[in-house]
Amino acid sequence: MAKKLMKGSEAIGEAAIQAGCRYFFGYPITPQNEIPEYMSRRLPQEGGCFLQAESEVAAINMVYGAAGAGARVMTSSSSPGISLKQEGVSYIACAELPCVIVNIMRVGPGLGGIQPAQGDYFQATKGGGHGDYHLVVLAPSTVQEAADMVMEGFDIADTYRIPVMVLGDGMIGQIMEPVEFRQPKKREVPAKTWAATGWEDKSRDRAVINSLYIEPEQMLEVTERLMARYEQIKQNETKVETFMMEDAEYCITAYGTTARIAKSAVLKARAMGIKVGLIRPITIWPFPSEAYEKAADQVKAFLTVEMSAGQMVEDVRLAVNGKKPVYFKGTLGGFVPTTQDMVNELVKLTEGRE
Amino acid sequence: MSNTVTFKRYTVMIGNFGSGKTELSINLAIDAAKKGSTMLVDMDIINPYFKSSSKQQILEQAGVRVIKPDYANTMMDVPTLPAEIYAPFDTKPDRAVFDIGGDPVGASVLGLLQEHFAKCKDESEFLFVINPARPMQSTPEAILSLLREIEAKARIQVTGLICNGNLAQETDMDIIAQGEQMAEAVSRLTGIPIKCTAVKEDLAPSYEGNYPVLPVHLYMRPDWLNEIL
Repeated sequence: MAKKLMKGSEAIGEAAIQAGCRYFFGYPITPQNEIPEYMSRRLPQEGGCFLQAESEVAAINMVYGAAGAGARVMTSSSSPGISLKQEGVSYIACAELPCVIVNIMRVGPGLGGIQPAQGDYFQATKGGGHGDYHLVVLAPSTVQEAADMVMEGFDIADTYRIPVMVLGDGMIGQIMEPVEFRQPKKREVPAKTWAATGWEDKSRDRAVINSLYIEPEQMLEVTERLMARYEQIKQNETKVETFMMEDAEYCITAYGTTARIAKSAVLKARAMGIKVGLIRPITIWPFPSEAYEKAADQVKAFLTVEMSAGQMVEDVRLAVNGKKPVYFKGTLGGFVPTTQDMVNELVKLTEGRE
Repeated sequence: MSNTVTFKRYTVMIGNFGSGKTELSINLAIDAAKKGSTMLVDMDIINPYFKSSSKQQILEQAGVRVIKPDYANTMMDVPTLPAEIYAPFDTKPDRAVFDIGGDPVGASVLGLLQEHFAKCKDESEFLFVINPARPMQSTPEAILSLLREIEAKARIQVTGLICNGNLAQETDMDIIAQGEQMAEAVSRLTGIPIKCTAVKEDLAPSYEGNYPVLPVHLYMRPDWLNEIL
């Protein structure tokens, strides 16, 4: 397939189809409506099922069902809709089922507005729903990366029997860029012997999809298994990009669209003689703490930039562990920071004016 | 061939979203404002971001009067249009460019103006922008089906095709040529003539094709988009 000029939302839809996803359950919300719209057009062509549910709560429980039957399944929404889905997400995590959930963040809290934001970092990485669980959270900075992450996300989900979230801001959902669909690196994805697809073969145990464990010993066993798996994921799946960090005296850090603007700011600041580099988490859970630990022995200070009031900055501070100051610059209201905003902050940093 | 393209008083840009209507509308309006009174009517009520009216400041500095959906560029997701959209027919500026949302639903708003266009038939043109690099737009049949759907919803007939094959920053002469081949195929199927080829301004001088050239400056692209991560 030749390169196409696609909106992030469309690319996410096509990527899911290319990854073998044939089931999509969702409910529309701006700024990600092009995902359900695209799936409603494309899935019937592929013999799949697109269903606009009566609500986000219904949609996530349909995902739970399809995932339990071993299907590759996806849902998508934007911030308020993702909040509605949280109970189901926690059930899916407990039932150890793979699926892909896309959140194209808009500004909040509340119904908020339709402009881009990154205010759902806590929700995505620290739980969101109840109980001790994690999602793998992938944070694309480009339309191409959004497509790649959806495709690889299905493999990660199947490998670890875990829900994977692709967390983009509204800009990722709406901007158009050239994109191509390429298969992710080959993985040994285990067969879904646990899937509830009937009990023809009586030699195996009945497949039971469940998230209710009344006996504490059973609940303990399940959570310990989950925790062990999370450790495995931290070992194998943590991803980070560093840019011009080799000789950096300052470190700017951001994820998603903000990271792209930060990269542009690094180049501008370098041209002004400021030795700054970028750390960009590609997975925000697991969080690439090691990159910051390493940088903490090298740079004078960190600057975290987010389209939020300060969420990822907490993980940066945990990783830096007090070794160096970690400053924060947030953009609220649905505004997108400019390259110049960030350069100004970096100048302040070098002048000790923070 | 690179004659300057001439446009009628009322130029309506329609086509698939991502075909390039908004960028072309802004270019046309800013160019027209150098020669006479100009309005840009942003009738896109389906896109939450990247509407032509988001460049209101640049447009107004160039002397273009911008008419836009009531809640455009706000946090509101309310698709309504102001009565001001009729202004081009009341005040008859030298040029009015209409930027229409990129699918049959988006184009249905044009139906509002159908009677006005009917009265000014000779002064109106409906230009369908073609970019085969868009998904589900890679065959003449697919493009034609969208064109007919939009015509039916908007209650107008397309009078010209604009070749706008592009992959944003990765556009090259091959992509432009593919746009032209696709437009030619649609033209053969429909008898609708090709009006011009839009070419990114840096490539325009080296264009050697058969159609009048519309050089395009990219107003909508944020600078940080050039950072490929």
